[in-house]
Amino acid sequence: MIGAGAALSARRTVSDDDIAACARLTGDFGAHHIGGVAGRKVAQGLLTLSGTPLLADDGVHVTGMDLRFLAPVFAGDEITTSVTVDTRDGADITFTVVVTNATAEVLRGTGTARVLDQSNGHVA
Amino acid sequence: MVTTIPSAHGEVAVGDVLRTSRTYTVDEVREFRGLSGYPDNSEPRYLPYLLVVAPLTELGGDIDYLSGRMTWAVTRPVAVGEEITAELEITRLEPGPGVTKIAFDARIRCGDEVVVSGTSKGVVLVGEGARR
Repeated sequence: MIGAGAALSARRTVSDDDIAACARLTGDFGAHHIGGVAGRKVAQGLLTLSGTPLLADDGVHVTGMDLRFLAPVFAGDEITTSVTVDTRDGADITFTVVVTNATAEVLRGTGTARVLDQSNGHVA
Repeated sequence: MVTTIPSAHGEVAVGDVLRTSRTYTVDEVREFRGLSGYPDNSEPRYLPYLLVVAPLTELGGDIDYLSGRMTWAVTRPVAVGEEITAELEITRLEPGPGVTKIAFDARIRCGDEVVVSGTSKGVVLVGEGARR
């Protein structure tokens, strides 16, 4: 049950392999991802977001997001993604996503989503 | 003088629309789940939200785009196997030192139906790390 106040978080270290796999899956071969900036590869924003717990759930239909990318994430960086459910009204939730590296926030955003039944796609 | 930026599709300017299409398979969704840190072999019904917008990030990569802000509205879930077409329409280009500020409108369509619409603004690298 995803209720108001629920908080989920995940931690990962972004690797060169992750950036290459993300490029393959998305088609985002931007030079700063592949060649790097000052010798360091920059993670795709989508890769930075990919560990976000709610977004990975087949039973959660995201209906909107508003994201601010505050700083680049580089290969080798350990990032922590935290999601807080701010409100829930029936099947509709609002949430806040914050991604941090060792020293600062790198991404902050808000979103809305609809929680679907896990088994048949109907609203729970 | 019209400001242009280099892209994988040649020089582009305000008003130009970049477009690409993709259809994700069940195996690719599973690979994405693994990449996300949530390996799961169950049969996915829907594309993960991030894969729905992934073709837009491909277009972003084509112009070496670093996002500052993006806002999206999504009308419905997209089933695995549906072809999705991303469109990125450049609305502003503002040259500066080392980077060009850019804003664009973006859409994801399934056929004629728009399933995601939004806007984004950020910068395009024109110095170190840039495509050219």
